[in-house]
Amino acid sequence: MDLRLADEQTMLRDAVRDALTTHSSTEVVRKLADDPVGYSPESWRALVDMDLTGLGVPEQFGGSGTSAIESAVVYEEFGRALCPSPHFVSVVMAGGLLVRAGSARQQAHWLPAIANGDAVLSAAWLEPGRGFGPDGVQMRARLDGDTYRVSGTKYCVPFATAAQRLVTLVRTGDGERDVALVLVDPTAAGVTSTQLVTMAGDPQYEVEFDAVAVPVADRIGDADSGWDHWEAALETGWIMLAAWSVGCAARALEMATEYAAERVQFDRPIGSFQAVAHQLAQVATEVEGARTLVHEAAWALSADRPVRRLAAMAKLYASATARHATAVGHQVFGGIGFTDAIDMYLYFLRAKENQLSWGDPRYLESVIANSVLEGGRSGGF
Amino acid sequence: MDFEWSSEEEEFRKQAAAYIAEHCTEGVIQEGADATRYVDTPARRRFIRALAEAGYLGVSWPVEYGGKGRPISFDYILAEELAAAGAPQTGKGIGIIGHTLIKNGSDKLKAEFLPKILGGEIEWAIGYSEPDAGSDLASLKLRAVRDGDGWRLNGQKRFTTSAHFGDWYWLAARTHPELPKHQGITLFILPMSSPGITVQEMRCMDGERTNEVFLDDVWVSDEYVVGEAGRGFNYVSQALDSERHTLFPLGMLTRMFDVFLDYVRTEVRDGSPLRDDPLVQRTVAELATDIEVARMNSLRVVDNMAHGLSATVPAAMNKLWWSDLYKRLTNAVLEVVGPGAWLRRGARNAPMDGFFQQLYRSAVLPAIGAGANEIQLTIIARRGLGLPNPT
Repeated sequence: MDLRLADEQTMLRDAVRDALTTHSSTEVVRKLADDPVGYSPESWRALVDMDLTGLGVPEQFGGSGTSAIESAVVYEEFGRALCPSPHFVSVVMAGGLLVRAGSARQQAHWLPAIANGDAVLSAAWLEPGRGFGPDGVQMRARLDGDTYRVSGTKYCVPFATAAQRLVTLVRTGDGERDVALVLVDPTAAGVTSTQLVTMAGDPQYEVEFDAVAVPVADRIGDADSGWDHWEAALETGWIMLAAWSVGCAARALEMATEYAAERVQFDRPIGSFQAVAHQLAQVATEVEGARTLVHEAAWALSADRPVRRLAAMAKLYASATARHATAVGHQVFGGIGFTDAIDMYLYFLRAKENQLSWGDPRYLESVIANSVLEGGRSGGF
Repeated sequence: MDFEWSSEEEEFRKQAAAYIAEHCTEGVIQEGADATRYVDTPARRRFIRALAEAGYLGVSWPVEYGGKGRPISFDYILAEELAAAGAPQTGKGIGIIGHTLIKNGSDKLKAEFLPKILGGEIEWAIGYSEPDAGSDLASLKLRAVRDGDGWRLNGQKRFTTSAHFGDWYWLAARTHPELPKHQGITLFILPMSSPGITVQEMRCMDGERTNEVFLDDVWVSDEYVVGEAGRGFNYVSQALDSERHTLFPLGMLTRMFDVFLDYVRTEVRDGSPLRDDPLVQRTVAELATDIEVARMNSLRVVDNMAHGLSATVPAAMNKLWWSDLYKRLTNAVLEVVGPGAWLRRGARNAPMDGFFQQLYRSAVLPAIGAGANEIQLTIIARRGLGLPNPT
C-alpha cells in the first residue's frame, strides 16, 4: 500500500502543469470557445513535444509505453487548465480502440501518426433521440460486396472537421450488440458536417452520412464485436475523464479559496465565516476522495484488473465533485463570478458538460447497480 | 502507487479473519438491531481476551511495552476485519488510552495498566464531555483541587457511555482555572468504583444507554495523573487525531449495505423485481460509490500515518464523509423500501426485520460524537485550506 505518486509521476505532473500554464492559459481557452477547429496548433505541438500524444500507445508504435497512472496524472492537469484539445477522442478513444482491436495494417498506419500528433482521429457515436447504450446505435451499415454503405445521422461528434478519420459506430444487424466500428474519412463523398454550439464551447458536429462507401478493410474488429471494444475503450476513457474532473474541481476550489481569503465583507475575509468556509471544506473532502478513487481505478487498470465498476464509479463521483466544486465556486465569488471577468464560469460549464458526456450519471448508475447487484462484493471491484 | 496490502499485511489479514471467525461464537456478533450497540457481555469479554491471547491486541504498540511493533496499517486491518465480521472492536484501552500512556504516562502507570490492557482485562470509561462542554471541550468545568499528595475532584460528566460497566475512569478535569482554558486541564485515571462517584442512566433514542456521572469529593493520588498536570487537552487532541480512523470502520457500513443488497436482489414489488426499478438502481449505485470513496478516505489516513505525514486533515475528512454517508445510507434505504419501512424489529412483515428503521436512529450520533462534523469542517478549512479561523 502506497497511495503516493512516484517521483517521476510528480515530475510529469509539474512539467505538464508548467507547459499548460504557457500554452493553455484561460485566455487561450476563452479565445477558442465556439471555434470550428477548437484547438490551437501551438498547444497541440506542445503536447506532442512532451510526448503526451503517445500516452497509452505501445512503444512499438511510437507511443510512450507508460501506464494508466501517468495518463491519469496528465488528465488531471488537462482538467485544471481546461486544455482544449482533441487528445481524448484521438489518443484515448480512437487510439485505445486501435490498440485493442485494430488490424496489423490499421495499427501500423494510424498508431504512429496518432502518437506523434500528425493524425487526429475522432469518434462518431451518438444519434439524435437515442441513449448511451448499444441500442442507441441505429445508423445502419449495409454490406455490398466488400464495401459497407452507411446512411444516417450522428451528432455531438467532437473535432469532426479537424479529424482525418471518424471511428464510427454502425449497426450491422438486429441483435442488441450487432454493432461495428468503421473508419470513415470525414471528407469522403456523402459526408456532411455541421457545427453544433455547446455548453462548453467545444467544437462538436452533426455528421450526416448519405450512402457513404466504407471498405470492409476499414472496419476495426469483427462485425459484431464493435460494442464490446467500445465499452472496453470507454472504461479507460471514464477514468481519464474522471481525472480531468478532479483537476477541474481542484482548480475551482483553489480559485474560490483564494478569493474567500482576500474578499472582505463585514470588515473581515468572507472565508472566516463558517457559512463560506464549511462549503469549501466539504468540496475539499470530495476532491480528495475523488482523486484517490481515480488513482485506485488507474492503478487497477495498470495492474490489468477488471475495472468496469470502478471506472464508472470514478467518472460518476469525480464529475459530480467537479459540478459541486464549481457551483460552490460561483456562490463564493458572488456577483462578480456571474460575469466573464472571472474564470469560474469556464469551469462551471465544462464541469457540467463533462458530467453529462460519454455516459451520464443515469447511464453510469445503471452500469454500477447492475455490477453491484450481480457481483457479491460491494467494493470497487 | 499501490492499492494492495503487502504480503505481510495480507497474511496478517487472513490470519486475523480466520481467528476472528473461529472465536465469534454465540453472543459475540451483534446482529440486527443490536449491530450498532455498545454492549458489555461475558461473551464479548471472552472474545476480547481471546484476541489478547493470540496477540491481536496492541499490534502497533512498541515491542518494549508488549506490543508487536507493527506499522499502523495492521491496526487498521484488524479493525476492518473485526467490523466486517460484526465483532466488537478492540476498544479504547488499546487505542486512545494505551497510545497516550505509552507516549506520556509515568513508568508506574505504564507498568500498572499496559499489561492489563494487552490482556484485555480492563473496560475503560472515558469522561470528557460535560453538560456545558461539548464541541468546546476545553471549556470543561469539573474541578480538581490540590489535596495532600493528590487532587480532590468535584463536578459532573455527561455521555460516559461505559460508566455503568467500566472498571477505570479516564477523566479530564480542570486543575488550573487561572490559566487559559486549553492549558488548565489534566487527565486522571481513577477506579469507577471510587467513593463519591454516582452513575445515573440516560436512555438514548436508539435503545442505547449512556450515563451522567457525578463526582463528589473524589480523591485521586498524584501517581494517577497522566503525564504532566495542565497538558491534558494536548493529550486528548493528539490521541483523537491518530485514533479517529479506527473509530469509523468501513466494514460496519458494508455489512449494512450488504443486507440492503440482498433485499434488493430478491424482493418483488407489485410483481416487478425491485432491482429493475431505476430509482432503486440509482440508490444502489450512489451508495456503492460513496462506500468506495469512504474506503479511499480511510486508506488515505493510514497511508499518511505510514509515511510519517500529518493525518489530521485526512482523518477529519474520513470522519465527516463516513458519518454523513451513514445517515445518507439509512435514509436512502428507507425511502426505497416502500410500505412498512417504518416497522420496528419484531413487527410482523417488517422489511429486513426493521434493521434500517433501527439504523436510522443510530445514524444520528456519529456526525455528532468524536468531534461534531462542524468541528471537522473547521479543521479542514483551517488546516487543509489555510482559511482564517472561522467563526
